[in-house]
Amino acid sequence: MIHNAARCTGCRTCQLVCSLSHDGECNPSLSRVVILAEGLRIRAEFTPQCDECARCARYCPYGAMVREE
Amino acid sequence: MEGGYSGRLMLVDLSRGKASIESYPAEVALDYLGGFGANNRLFPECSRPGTDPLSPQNPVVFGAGPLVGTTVPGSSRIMANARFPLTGAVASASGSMGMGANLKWCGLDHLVLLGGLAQPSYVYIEDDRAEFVPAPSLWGRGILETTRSLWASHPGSSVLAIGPAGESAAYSSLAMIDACATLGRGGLAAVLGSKNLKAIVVKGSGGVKIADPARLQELVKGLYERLERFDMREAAAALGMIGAWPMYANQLMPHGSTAEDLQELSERFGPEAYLGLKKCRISCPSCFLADKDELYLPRTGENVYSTSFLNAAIIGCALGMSDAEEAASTLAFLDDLGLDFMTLSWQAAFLLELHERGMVTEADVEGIPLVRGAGILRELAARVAERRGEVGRAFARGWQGALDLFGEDTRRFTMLVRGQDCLYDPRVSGLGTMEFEQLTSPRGPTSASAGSATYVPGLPEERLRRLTARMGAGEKALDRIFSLPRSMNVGRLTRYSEDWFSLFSSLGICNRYQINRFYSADLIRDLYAAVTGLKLETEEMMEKASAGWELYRELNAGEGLGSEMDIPPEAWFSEQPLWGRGGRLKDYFGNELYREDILTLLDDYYDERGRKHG
Repeated sequence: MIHNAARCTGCRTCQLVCSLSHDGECNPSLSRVVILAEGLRIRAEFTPQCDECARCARYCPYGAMVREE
Repeated sequence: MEGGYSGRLMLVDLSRGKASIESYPAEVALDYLGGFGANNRLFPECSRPGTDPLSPQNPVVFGAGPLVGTTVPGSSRIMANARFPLTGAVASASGSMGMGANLKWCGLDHLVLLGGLAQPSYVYIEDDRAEFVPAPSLWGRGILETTRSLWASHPGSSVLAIGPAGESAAYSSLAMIDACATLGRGGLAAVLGSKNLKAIVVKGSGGVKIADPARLQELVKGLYERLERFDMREAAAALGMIGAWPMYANQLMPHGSTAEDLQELSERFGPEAYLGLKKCRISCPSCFLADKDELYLPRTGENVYSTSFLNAAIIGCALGMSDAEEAASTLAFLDDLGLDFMTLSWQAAFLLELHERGMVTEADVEGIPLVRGAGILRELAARVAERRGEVGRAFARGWQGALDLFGEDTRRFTMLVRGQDCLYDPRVSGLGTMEFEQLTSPRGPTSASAGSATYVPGLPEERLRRLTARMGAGEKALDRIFSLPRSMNVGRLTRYSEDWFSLFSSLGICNRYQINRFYSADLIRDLYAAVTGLKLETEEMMEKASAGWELYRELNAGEGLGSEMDIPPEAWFSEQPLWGRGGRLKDYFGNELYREDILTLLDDYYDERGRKHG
């Protein structure tokens, strides 16, 4: 998975979708996407538990999450 | 309740420097849905009618509804109830960015502030813990600097901050969340400032439990599919609200403008001008159509945030600013001071009206430049924020201060209801629900609380009816609204617009047209059931939303601010241009309206609410 910070608006949908689908609740701290925020600038990383299901990419409204084929 | 609600609130006693986690009665959420409705239910529990808005006894109740902090698109709303100094009303203000979601991720549905601090401080809330941090070095700082400083101290947090205008208790002050979302038109920042509270920093490390995750995913997937089919998606994604520039431009044009003027205005403030400043778009949590920005201002080399570039275009058009950069820079200046750009802009326009009529000279206003442009707004804002000079002190007390200074006779050059300026002039846009509701809103005119399909000009009656049905109005109500002698009764429709707002604000969804257009009452009912596990009929859910609004009205009637205050401003009945706007009062379809029509519509509005007017 790749996060394109230039396209990211900081909506955190990636984290919420990830935790909802894997853990059944909307909880950023359970997400396989880790957001490192500097003010409103966002950088995202992926935990080793990420199985590249790409739901985060499917729901990212801004095309900031991409699964590299 | 299986999800959505935590059933907990944090009670913060600022005077004692103590905070505690409390349970609140389940009926508060069950009867009023949460957020807005629940705030209205909780507020009188901790407040007495008649309390001075600027005394420590004026509590502030924040609430985030059960959908906040979830994947539901646009579910980031935070509501704040307090007595506001501009009108004296118990206002329920609506804001966005990260505060609501972080509050929910702390495991809290509400935050209640009582009393006042002995010295300037901020409160840091992390999950169940609150820390009171003295912050004398932040006092006097602008909102952007304060927010950046607190982000640096508390990475990953959301920051609500006030600026110098709130510190000096200016009535037209407001707070900003994460430096790009406003909260509390009419003086919320003054209320916080009077408590010596510079900021609230919130960081949650938990989450929101979901009753039926699979169903929620399915419903959200459907919303994303609708987004894919939205023909304006590309323009909205790239440009935000300014993507619908032609619709707004017609309303922002000064009275009597020509097609050439429109072209010229579009070049100064339209999409191309915006793209020249745009650095990146910023979203509230879960929003799929971002409308906040980081902008780059080439002349000063500054990066600033904007609540929406449309707001820069509004003040640029209203005061004849030279270009987009001047407007964006001026908007950022007011945001940084923590002042309501609309009230200040109309106050500048008021001074220009008096000057053009020979009633006021620059010497009378202590050298404020009485010419159109950014200068008058910047100078007035700086003086209000500092309460500097006679004019600064007077205008810091809101419109009443201005009328006290220049004489009650100058009220004819204003457009006020309940002491607050009208945002919408029905002589320009026609009397839709947002224009009409300026009369009935308990807190005075606001930008948000009566959105409906009338936001979009020129829709045929059949489409208006269909879009009103989407808002949960039943068939009998639709028959009453869409009947002769008017093909659409805006008084009756406004009741359902307010209930629609109450529903969104109670559950925590953004009520901006660009977001709410994707929702229907039935879909919201299903989302509510998926998140909370509570299954309601649509009608039952709308009744709860309506009950939340009725509480809001009763709260203010208890303060002596009932329906007798629903007085249309005289300027509506004059064709004379005021603040650059003018023309005859007309309905949504362009038919002329008279004073008696407005009074009849007010009666119809209250009839639809099951009450008597007056």
